Amino acid sequence: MASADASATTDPSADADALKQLLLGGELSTLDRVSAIVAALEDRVGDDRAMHDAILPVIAEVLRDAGARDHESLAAALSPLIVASLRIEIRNSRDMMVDALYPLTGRLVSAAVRNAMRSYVEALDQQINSAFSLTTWRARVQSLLSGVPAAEILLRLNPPVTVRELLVVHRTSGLLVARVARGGESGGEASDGDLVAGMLTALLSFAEEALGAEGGGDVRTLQLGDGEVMLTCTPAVIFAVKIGGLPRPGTRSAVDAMLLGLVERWGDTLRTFDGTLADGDATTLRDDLASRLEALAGALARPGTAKTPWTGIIAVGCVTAVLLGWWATTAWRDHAAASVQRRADAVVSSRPGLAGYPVSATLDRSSDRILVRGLFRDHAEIDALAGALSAALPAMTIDRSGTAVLPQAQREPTATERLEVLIRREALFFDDDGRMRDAARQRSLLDQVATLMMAADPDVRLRLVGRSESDPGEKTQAFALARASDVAELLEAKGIARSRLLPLGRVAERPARPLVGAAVRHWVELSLMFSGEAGRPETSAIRDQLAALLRSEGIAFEREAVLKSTAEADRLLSRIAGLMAELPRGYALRVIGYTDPTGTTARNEALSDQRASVVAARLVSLGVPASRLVTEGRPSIRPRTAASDELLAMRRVEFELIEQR
Amino acid sequence: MEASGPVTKKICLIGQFGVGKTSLVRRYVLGQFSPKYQATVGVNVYKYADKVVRQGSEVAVNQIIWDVDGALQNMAVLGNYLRGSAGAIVVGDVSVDESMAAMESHLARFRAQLPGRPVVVALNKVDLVDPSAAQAAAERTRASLGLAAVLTSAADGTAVPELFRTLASQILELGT
Repeated sequence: MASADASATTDPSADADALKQLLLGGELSTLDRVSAIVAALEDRVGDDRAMHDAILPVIAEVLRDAGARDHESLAAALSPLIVASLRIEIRNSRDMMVDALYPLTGRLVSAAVRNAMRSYVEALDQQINSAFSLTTWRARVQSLLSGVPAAEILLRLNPPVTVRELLVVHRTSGLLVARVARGGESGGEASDGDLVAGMLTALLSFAEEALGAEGGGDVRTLQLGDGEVMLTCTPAVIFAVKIGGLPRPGTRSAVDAMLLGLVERWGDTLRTFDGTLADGDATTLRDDLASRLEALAGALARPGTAKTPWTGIIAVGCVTAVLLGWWATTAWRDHAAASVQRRADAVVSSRPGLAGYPVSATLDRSSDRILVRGLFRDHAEIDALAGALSAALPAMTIDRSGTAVLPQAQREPTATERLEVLIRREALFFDDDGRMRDAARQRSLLDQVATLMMAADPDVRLRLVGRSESDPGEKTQAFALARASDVAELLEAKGIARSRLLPLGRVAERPARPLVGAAVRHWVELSLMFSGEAGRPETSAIRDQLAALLRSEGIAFEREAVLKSTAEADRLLSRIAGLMAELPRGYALRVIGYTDPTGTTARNEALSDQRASVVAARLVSLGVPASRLVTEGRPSIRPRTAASDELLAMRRVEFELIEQR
Repeated sequence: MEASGPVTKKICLIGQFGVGKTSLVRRYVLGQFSPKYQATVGVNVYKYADKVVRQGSEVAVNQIIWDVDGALQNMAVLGNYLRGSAGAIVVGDVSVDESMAAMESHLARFRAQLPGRPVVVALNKVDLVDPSAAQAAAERTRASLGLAAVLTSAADGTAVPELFRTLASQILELGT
């Protein structure tokens, strides 16, 4: 009993556990393992964070394997999500999408515009060629003569373009999509299309990178012997059309039109090409390409110049009419201008006061004005000419802005002045027998002297001084007077009153070489006499003063025609010019240039003349009239310091006063 | 889109110049080898129709092989040549130590332009080195590039068909 009580007092829960273990031991063990697993799963994927961390390392591999195992199922499962995401992204990020797509769309638009412009230019070119081509017109004439259609004649002259082959190449990968050769053309069999496609793509890629124009220009043509390959590139596809013969205007546009049709129908297929076409697509595409190629070949074989040439005829007619109108207008304007010019010339010629003056009246067609140009004697002559032109050409405006009047110093000399100049430069020469030398020339001189004497002031007389070199005999002065009288008689015979002629005879004090040469020993000098000029008391005093000055002073030269001292020369010349201004017109000045003995005679003669001219020019600039100056060169004849070794002193100019009474 | 005909794929051979890319292609396509070096200018395109086993059956593959000029690595035109490639073979010279860096560079260039496309690495010219040295180079390549290298010799044809078929298999498997 006691043991039963003792056992009744043991722990009942321990008994229960023992009973459970006895009855459910296996299940309990399983339950513990499951609990551990659940706990582990709880840790790994029990919440979002744990799930994320668990999937992250394997999800990429899982998707890749799933895609490799069943690409289409994965694509079908993911596509709706991807497409929806893209739509949302596009809707929310339009600006970003535009920026991203702009390079592509811009390039496409640019290419489309370029192609359109090229097609337009080709069409225009074709029209112009059709209208104006000599070949076309020749064919038309032959057609009229022979009755054969012009198109047929042109066809004979220019064989049609033949289309040989078309390759469609996936631009991204360079893989050949399709290749079609026309019946009878062998190009398709001669080479492997895949290799051709690859190399073509590589070539275009190279050209695009290395030679591509700004804006992504593509290669459009490959020239191959008697034909060429026309290339047309879209972003996804390269079309290569191989043609034979010389492409005509319009060939390119016909090819492009055919390819445009291809892209419209097969664009999606070509863009998604991955190296293989489904059997159905491949066959259909090949058939479609073949039929389009045949259609293109047929279109290109028909010459495009067989149309009625009315457009060309009308165009030629219009151009001809315009040219004729232009020619007629130009000719009429030329005629009218020539008429106006003739009348203006006639007016100028009819003005006696313009004789010898450089005057012109020219029509300026751009402004419809008469331009009067030139030098006039005076303003009255300009006014007279302008009035005459206005009267003759009332519709024209007379422009006289180009006229000028001769300055007073340049006025035409009077007969007396001209005579004075003439006789100072000339003399009449005789031989020892009293005969006139070079008679023809000297008679001509006397004719001029007679003419001017008759036109000169009536109170002017002519003094004729006969001179002969000193002669030991007695006849010298008488011989000289006889020669002067001979000249006076000749002048009297020409109408000069005897009262106006005064012959004189003198013994020559200097040789005549400066005039004609050393051989002349007898001559007659002429000079003018003005009534009432001589004899005034102040005149003789001035004359004596000037003569004394001229005897003591000269102008020295450094070398050639260079003055030794310009200041000293001008000081002396100013004094001489002042005294000359005080003397009557009958007094003149002889300016005599000298040289040293060095150098050739010819050079020294020229240099002596040059020195005299230099000094005379300075005197003129100081107010001495040129008509009162006579220049003369005397090389080494009478140097002031002939006995001196100082050659410098020989280079000088001296003066002689000439008293014309 | 199901096709019963051969699958056509473009693959590129890239690598430093002189490592034997052209020789590998010529050995594979033409069964020829020339010891004379002639540099590739730009790119050469070859075609070879081969068969690979996939899931127990043979599949015909037209491989359009672009043998790319090794000097173009840093030029923009290389991108045009790689464009559209289903996979690439990066070739190195097992006999040249510096070849590893060039392979890394070419591999990075390809993956930057075409991520996810299969790449097979070839260590060429194994006929010029000891087998142990070749194995050591293959180990270095695996460690550096993370890819197992195929030890090839264009001169004697060692593993050349296997090289191209390995790439073709990976292309078919990934559907690139």
